[in-house]
Amino acid sequence: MPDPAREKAPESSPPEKAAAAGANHSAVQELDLVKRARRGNLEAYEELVRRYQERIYATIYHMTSNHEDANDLAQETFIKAYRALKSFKGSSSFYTWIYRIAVNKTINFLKQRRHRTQMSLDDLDSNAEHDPDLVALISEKTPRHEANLAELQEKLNAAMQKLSEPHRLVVVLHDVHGLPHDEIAKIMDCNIGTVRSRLFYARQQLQAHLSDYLK
Amino acid sequence: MAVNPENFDQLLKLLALKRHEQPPPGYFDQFARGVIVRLKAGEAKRESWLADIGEEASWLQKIWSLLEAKPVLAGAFGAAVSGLLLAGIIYAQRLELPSPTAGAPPPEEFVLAPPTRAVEADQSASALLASSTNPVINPVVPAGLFDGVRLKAEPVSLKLENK
Repeated sequence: MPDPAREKAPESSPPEKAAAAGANHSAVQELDLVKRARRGNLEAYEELVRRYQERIYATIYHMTSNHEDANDLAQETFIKAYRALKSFKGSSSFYTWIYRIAVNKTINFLKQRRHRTQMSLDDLDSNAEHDPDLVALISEKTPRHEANLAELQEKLNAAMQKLSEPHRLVVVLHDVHGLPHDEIAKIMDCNIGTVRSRLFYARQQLQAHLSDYLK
Repeated sequence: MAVNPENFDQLLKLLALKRHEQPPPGYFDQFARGVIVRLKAGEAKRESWLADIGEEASWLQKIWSLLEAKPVLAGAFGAAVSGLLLAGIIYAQRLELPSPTAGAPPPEEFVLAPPTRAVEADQSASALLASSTNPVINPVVPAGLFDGVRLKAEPVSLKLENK
């Protein structure tokens, strides 16, 4: 089972070293932003929000399949994180820390709304139509030739909603966002073995739900 | 053709579709600003709440910030409060427990009166009831409250008239 590109390669080439140096610089900058935000500097915090807004929003959106809920929860995540900044010790990255807040908030929300699962899906960008893998899925490879991308999107989201929250979260973080297993384990506060087994089970479940579209 | 349950290539290709889902255009341009506006509104609300409390809040805030800044001071403050509480409890216990002889009335000699006949009868009846496993065959009927009342049954005739 190949891991996504985010996982570290055993040997690093010059471009990778440059990328690592850039990441290090970025981490230092991030720490500085966190320190300033902790002292009440809202400009610094706005910069932190800009850095992570897309990833946090997307994670929540893929968990809820609802734009309005994702918008509210993402905003509340950043507000809660700002108020809890003093408790951020720096033992993990700010990124992992804020992800954990978002995930806990989302799971609590989903537990409360268990009987109300109304989807409000975001539009697909124009690149989706040119993605060769997706084009192949909706053309000759599926028995449902009439299926278009919008239908596929709806079926996929419906299948995702059938998974339990921890299983859905693992699929979102690993297969959609490309986070490595160890990072997911930190976010979910469990061990890597649990992440792997949940991922395997969740994929099997999804595959069963979407068997008409996977040939 | 069945799908191989352990080959997820097709599923991963399908999941790539999720990465193409995007919120409305310009959504992220406003998002961070929205968070900051909400934060400022929250802070303003909090500040006005503190202002409502009045001057008390200012010294309370100062103490709180001082305790927050110096954990040793917070520990000492906690220990002082606990000590005070303990001293209070001990002092209260001393007040509540006077010496056993102080202010007590002199002890009196109690003499038991001989039991009356009614009490004797009642005691024997209750002793019998308590010792017997079959109180129905008990020949001694204890004196009861309704001994003097004689109940007499009389037939009642009802006349029903047909109309």
